[in-house]
Amino acid sequence: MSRLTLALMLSLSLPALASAETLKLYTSQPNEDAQKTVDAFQAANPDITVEWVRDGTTQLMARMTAEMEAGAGQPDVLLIADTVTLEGLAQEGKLTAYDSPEAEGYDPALYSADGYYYSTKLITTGIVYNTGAAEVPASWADLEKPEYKGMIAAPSPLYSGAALIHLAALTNNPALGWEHYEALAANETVAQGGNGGVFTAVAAGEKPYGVLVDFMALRAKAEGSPVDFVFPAEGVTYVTEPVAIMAGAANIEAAQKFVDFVLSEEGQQLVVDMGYIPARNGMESPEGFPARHGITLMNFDAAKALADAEANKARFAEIFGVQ
Amino acid sequence: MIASTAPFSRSPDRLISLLLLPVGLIALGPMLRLLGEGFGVGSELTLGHAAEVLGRASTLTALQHSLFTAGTGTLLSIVIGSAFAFVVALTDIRAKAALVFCLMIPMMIPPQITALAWMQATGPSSVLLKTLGLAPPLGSPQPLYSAWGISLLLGIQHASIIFLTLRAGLRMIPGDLVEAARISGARGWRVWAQIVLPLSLPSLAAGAAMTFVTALGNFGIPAMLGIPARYSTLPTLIYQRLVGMGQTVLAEVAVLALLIGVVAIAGVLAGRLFLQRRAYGLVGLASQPLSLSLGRKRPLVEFILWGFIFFTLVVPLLALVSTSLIPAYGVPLTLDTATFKAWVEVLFNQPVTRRAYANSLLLASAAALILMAVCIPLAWLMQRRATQLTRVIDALVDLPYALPGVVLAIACILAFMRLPFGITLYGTLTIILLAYLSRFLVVMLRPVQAAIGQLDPAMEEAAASSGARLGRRLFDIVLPLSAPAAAAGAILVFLTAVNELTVSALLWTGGTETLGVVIFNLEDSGDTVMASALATSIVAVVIALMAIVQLSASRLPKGTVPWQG
Amino acid sequence: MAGLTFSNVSKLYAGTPALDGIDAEIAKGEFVALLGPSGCGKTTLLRLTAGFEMPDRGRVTLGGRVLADGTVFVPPEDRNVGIVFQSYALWPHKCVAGNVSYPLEVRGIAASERKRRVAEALELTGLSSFADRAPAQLSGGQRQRVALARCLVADPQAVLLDEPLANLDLALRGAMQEAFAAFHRRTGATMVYVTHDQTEALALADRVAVMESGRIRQFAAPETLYDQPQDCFVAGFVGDGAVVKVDRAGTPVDGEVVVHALGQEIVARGHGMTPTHICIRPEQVRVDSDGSIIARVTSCTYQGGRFRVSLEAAGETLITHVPIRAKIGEELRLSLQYPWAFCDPVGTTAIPGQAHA
Repeated sequence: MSRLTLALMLSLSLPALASAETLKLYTSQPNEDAQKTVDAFQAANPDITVEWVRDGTTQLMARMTAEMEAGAGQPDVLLIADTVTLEGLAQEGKLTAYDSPEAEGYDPALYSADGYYYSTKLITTGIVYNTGAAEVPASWADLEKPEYKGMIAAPSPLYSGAALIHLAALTNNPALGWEHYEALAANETVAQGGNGGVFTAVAAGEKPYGVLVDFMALRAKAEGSPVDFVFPAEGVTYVTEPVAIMAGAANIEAAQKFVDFVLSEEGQQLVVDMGYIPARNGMESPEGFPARHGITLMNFDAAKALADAEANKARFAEIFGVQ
Repeated sequence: MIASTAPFSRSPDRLISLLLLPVGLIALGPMLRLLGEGFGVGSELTLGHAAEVLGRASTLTALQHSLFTAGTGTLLSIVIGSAFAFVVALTDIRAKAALVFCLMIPMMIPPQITALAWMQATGPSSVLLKTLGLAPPLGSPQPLYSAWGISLLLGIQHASIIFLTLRAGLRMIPGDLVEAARISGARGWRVWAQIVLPLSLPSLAAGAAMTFVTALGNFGIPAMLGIPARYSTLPTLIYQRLVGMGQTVLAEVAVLALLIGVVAIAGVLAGRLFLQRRAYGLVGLASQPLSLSLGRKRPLVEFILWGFIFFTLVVPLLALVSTSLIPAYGVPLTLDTATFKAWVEVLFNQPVTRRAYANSLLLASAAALILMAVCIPLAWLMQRRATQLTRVIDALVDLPYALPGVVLAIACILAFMRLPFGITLYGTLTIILLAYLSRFLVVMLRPVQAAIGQLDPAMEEAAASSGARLGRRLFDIVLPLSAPAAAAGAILVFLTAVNELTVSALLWTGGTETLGVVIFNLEDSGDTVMASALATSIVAVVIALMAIVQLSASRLPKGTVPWQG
Repeated sequence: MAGLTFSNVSKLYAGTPALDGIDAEIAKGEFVALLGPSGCGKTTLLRLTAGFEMPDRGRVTLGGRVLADGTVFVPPEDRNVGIVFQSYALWPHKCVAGNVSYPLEVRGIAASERKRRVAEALELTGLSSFADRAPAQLSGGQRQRVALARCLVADPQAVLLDEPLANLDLALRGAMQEAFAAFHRRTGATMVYVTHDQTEALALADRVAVMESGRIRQFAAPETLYDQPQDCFVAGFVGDGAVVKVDRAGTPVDGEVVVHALGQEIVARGHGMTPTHICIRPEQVRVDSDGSIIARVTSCTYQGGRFRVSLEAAGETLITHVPIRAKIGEELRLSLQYPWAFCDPVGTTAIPGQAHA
């Protein structure tokens, strides 16, 4: 019984501890990367302890809503997939603006003018394929061909923030539009779950082709997985994994230090070491990745994506017959 | 005229009756809260939600799928479980203890790990098959991503329930019934078919009902195998709705949960009915249990049984282990490529694993101990002081276990999110503990009830006549005699709770992750290799714990080891 | 001096009376048997005495102290009666000594004193060498004695026995009956013994209460029950013989009365009200060539040393013992030697079966 009381007291006292030297981080990065980021930050700031929670973007949002409703405390910093979600939060007044000195090293398009959020990486979505596959796709349009029928896996916009942005960008691209998605559905594309599932399916060979974020494919390729990655001809969509400070954060100072850290050269070098393209200007891409200027980024309107988010999800659900 | 109160009603009894209050609140409170939510209690009472949700095509499809997979899975469990039960209980095959131990292992391994292991074993990328050169060509669908795949794994996962129930029933058949048949001229198969089988049917039916209900509420297997195939069952439908749409669909989800609940209750009642009939005519007869000799067919039967164990237990586990040893997913396992990198990373580098192990072990132990302390007086109360209230609680206490963990989690969130005095339990270990207590109460209660039911009431009367009061009687007489059953229940609760996923999947937050949640997260973010490593470590721990219990069996009182009876 | 008394005790189960107005006084040190067929209420009365049931009406007192009535109820823990159950109710997780010492442990008696009294009780029941055995290792008779030892280790005011020999085989029963008798002689305890076996009751008890349908039919010494049964039920249940309805009868004078039955004028013993029945024991029927009753043999059974013969006379069945086998259908002449005549109270039930082999 005393263990229970202890656990109860510990968990209820967490908010109290937070005001000391604890920072609460919610992130949708893979576990390993979140761990490395936190480790590096704590090494640079030994007086601050970071507690982090990792989950898919949608789940994180749901969790945060529930916690705020319950009055059970909230995170201090967010480091999640896409700017659209954070733009939404900023418009709801749930973020705190911060003018980071590190912003000078960045393209203004990559951070909120008011300082609500800052991009930390460039994660593009392209096509991954199993090296044993019969075809090597070169463009998004290739996926509509009959040779690819029943062989494609893709992440679901209902689950993954990156997939939602991918959907918004492609459907607004005159060369592809909603017809592309309808064609994918007709080609029996399996669109379920997140990027992790897509990678597993392609690496396993169940679905030789997939729509996937770049780092997952290239990192695995470097470790010997039988996969390879293509930056399609029409261009790639991208998410930038922005960092933001929550309104009502218990430890503003520590949160600001965190933001500065991930945006600093040191923080961005860590990004490179982890196998992502850094957002900061003038830094080298990691091995196996093309240089930043060599990648065609598809046009993307974040505000429009935010406004259309629900409608897009609904239409997608209809096309793919998701209940 | 003296009022006809029971001769023992004094304050100790009233104190015990107070036990019913917290039990009722924790075990049933969340369910009732959920029921209320489904009918709009709190906003406006309406059947609108219910009507709308039940009318949807997605609901009906999911219901059909659930009934189909649970039904065929149960049939498969019956075939497997009863074959093992008949052979183990009635014949003279060797190494029974080892066989039973191996059969029990799948029951203790969480369903999503089972699914993971089987997925690694089959399909075009199976590390195992690739290494053996037997992998099917690229692009072949994973055969398990189908209704039949789900049914197959459900059948194997729950075969042990049928085994345990049927074996208990077979042990009650006295040897002289069979001797009478043989003297009358019946031989071999005839004896089995015309004497043993009819007498064991009630037990078999009870086991089948329990299996059906469990299969219905299973989340892990349809989640791993059904979602990729777009084959939804009621539990996965609930999960997807909740995850995709956020908190606003709680009312809808409540209705879906009620649907499962109704089917589950029907199943539970059916099982109860059959169990009552089982006792007819066989109670109180104590003689040598049955034992048929297999003669020359014995090695063949043993070969078949062990072969089955090999394919359903060893092969998937081997697949799981092989996947944990490759450097990146999709790479074939060879002596050169084998590495412990994933093991090191997930077990030693990531603090979340240590936390999860600590949390899971703490929660499982706390749940087991608290339930032991609660269930002995509770079972005694239900047996000796049965009232309408205790009977109602008895009937309802199966629900939190029968319903999918997702549902219980939602119910707990609703019930414990906003408590008086501004306390909330959301995001704490406590809410997970309360959910476990609610869910596993029945796992502890049933064995203890059975043990107390078999206690001759005269023993307590003798103690009363010797001068011992209620508290003393409970401690000196009831507790020691029901302790083996309670210990067996505690072992079962611990092993099941330690790798529970579905409930904690929705209740966890930073710091309160459980093992099941971590595996799910790893798999979700594409770290299948690490997920496999962690899963293998858990399986190893579970098997080690089971082995410790098994090896101490000779020193423990009879009935403590749950699978040896 | 008060022992155990029941005053108008009644108990109802779902409207049916299990006990109906029981009045009885059991003296201190008396050995009383409650005898009757199953369902007569004897076990209920026993459990009521122990405190496991509450009377709906009436009062129970023991040693001058009220155990149960309308206002007071003393729970079993506080009654200080010992009870030997039919199933012995030995606790399997305690050894013999542990079982026997439990009542003393509960009373907080010091360990050394406990040991002494336990040893005494075990010696009294002949179990001293079994002190460390587990109940599972004992035979039926030994378990019986452990239950008895446990019962008396705390010096109870009364010892209750609930069909204690029902589960033992015949040979053992005889030995145990002697053990109970010896036990009673030695300790002088007040004992209430429930049984359905009349031989046992008659052999062991100082007085027997014959019960039927929740009522005590007759509560008297065994010889009295045998020689002078008060109603048809007792006459039929206890002992062998015939109960015959009389056609008409006179009034008893000086212990004798003339009745007309079996088509004869018969002189019988009796007192009180005009008799309605006579009870004819086998030894009161004599085969007499001058006898006035003509009877035909309907069955003849050997009983070791004599034959029990069933005879039909004037539409009634009579029982007697003869030294030589009689042929079925043989005609014999009988005479009756002072049977007992009694008045059966109105509303009694049928005469229980008279087939005592």
